[in-house]
Amino acid sequence: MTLPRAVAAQAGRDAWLVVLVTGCLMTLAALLLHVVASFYPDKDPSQWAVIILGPIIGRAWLFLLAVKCIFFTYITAKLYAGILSVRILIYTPKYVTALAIILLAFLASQAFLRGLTRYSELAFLFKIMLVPFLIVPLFVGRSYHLTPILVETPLVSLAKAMPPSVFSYIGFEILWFLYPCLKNKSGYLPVISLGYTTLLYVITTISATIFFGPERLQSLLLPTLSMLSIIQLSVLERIDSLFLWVWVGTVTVTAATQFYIAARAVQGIVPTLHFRKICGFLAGMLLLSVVPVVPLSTLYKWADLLGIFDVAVVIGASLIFTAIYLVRRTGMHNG
Amino acid sequence: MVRKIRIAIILLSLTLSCALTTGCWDSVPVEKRAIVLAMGIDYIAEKQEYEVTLVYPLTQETRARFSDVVSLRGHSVAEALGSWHHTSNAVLSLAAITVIVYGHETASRGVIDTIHDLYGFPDLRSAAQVILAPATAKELLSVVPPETQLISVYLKDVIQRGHTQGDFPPTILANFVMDIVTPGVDPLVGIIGPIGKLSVEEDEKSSASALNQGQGENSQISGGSQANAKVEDVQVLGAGLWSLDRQVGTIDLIRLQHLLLISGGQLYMPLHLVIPGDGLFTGDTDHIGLVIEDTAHKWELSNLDGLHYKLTIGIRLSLNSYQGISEITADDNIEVLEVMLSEAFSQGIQSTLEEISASGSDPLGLGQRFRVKFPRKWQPEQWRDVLKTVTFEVKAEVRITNVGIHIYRLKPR
Repeated sequence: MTLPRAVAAQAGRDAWLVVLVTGCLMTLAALLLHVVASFYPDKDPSQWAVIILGPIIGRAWLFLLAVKCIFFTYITAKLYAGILSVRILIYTPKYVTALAIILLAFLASQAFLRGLTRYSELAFLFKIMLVPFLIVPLFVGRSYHLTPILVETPLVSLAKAMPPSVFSYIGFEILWFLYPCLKNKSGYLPVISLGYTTLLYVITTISATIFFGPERLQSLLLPTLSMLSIIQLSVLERIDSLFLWVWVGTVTVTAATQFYIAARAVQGIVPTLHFRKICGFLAGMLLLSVVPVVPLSTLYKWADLLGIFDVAVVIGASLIFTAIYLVRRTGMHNG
Repeated sequence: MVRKIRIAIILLSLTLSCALTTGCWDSVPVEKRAIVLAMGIDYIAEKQEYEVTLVYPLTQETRARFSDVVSLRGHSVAEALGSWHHTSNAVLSLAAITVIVYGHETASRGVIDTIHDLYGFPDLRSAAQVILAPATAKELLSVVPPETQLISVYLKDVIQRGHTQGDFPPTILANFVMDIVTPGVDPLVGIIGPIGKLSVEEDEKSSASALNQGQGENSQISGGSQANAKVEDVQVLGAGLWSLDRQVGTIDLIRLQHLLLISGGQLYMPLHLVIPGDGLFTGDTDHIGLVIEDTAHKWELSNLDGLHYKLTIGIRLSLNSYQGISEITADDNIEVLEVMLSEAFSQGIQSTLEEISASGSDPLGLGQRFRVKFPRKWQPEQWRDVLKTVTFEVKAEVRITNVGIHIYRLKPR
């Protein structure tokens, strides 16, 4: 929803190129995660983190992951509630929507990973029928907003635009947790899932740039929604309202996967704790924390920081895991 | 596995059921909403106040009339709309607004503050059409159309007809704002006025006299204007030229049609052309009625001795009405007529382009064309000065596909 604005603020009309490059890099990162997960094909990070890093550092890393995921669940619920409150539910207190998202995330986590993935598939299939509306602006916008390519924006600005675009990929460490459940453990899943996401983001960014132009784009808080509120078909208009409601499925799935990872990470720190009890405790904490009012602009700042933090922690850890694993394996072979 | 899928389906049902819950806070029955369909924004210089006129249908079952026209005043549009609650207990909704009308005074003063105020309403419909009134927006919205239609609906129909034919600028609020904030392009806003009031000066006088008659802080006119009871229709008068957020000039309907020809997309656009008398087709200067069916245009620009734009435009048209003296169905005559029309279009479009660029307005996005071609030389802050020195060369190539439905031989030899 915010990606085109966040990237265009630095990259101008070349925003879509930044999104494309970031997407390619994130796909490579996802492949790295896939490789790391393949070291212990029957275990998820809550089990192998301690094996690779040792009991203290491993638990410290899991704690970091749990905190990040809990915070991300919180931000997802608050952001969606905030967006909804400025578009549709103007008089409804934001915490009511945020509470609904947290409750749904809690319920989804109780279905465990297999139920969660089915839920995710259904939400995806339901949402996919709205994707064509993102392509409509390509035909009604002004193509000159996209040209010339790579002339007006310095490379430094393009590089600066990459961190804000990373937030859209946050939470991709779920691939680690999915790996033990996969029937086909080749690298198709990360490439297809990240590739599809990147394609969608690139199309959205191109559409928004063509539709609004880089100057106007930077002043819109939610350009994708604004775009959908303007385009109209002969029998359908204000598609943004429809889109927001269907988007609730994606939001809940995102919050639920992060919530699940957080609960599994806590279980990795203290293996004797019961999963459902951990979920209940974390949900209770989240329900209390979403009540205080936080301005939407502050949430966006936190989200941008969280994106950078997430990528740094996950990719950094993946590289360290790989290095340690390879050193140990080499040592075992030599021994 | 079946159990997991069942859980997933239950969860999805729960998720989607959120769509049906508006909660206790946001549930407002339709009869308690004032769904504004048209809004007029006027600036009253004498009082340094904005006057916002709202047209909305009445939805109560016990209504005595079908619609209301309400005027609110304040030092800003936000203040005026904020005073709505003093006049009505209905919830103001801008979600279905179709037309936003700017009065002449407001447009000349600059509209950026009014736009900021409007976007303060989260449900504002950005696809609303923006138009200009030759005098005041209130006067235009007070017109009672034939068969007691709602003026907002009537205006929407007029605008849509213009869009379909391609002779009315399709300026919606979102594009209007985009053209204001994007350097190298300016908005083009159609002017619609009450029938019989073609002169801006006349309208300004009449509007001033109306204001001098004295109006309350918040005046309410129900079911239309009483002062303009004889005005029952509206018509397209031309378009307003803008520089940033201010109106800097106007063009008449013929010039507007020439301008819109360049943008393409016409579908049976009727156009009256004045062609010089040549002794073959017309005796003296005469009119010819055309229907534009399609256009194709190509821009070239060079920056050797000053900025020069060359436009080649192909126009496919039919003759609708011809008041001449020759048999134009003959092939030779058609070819001669095509050349004559090509020349007339070339001259008409060129003079239109020169007039518009001299005013410092850029509704065609010539600046953006320059930026794309010469990105290193593009300096947005100097574009207005450059625009006034731009030269044009227009070459129109007319092809007549159908020869008229009506051929008048008013001056037979």
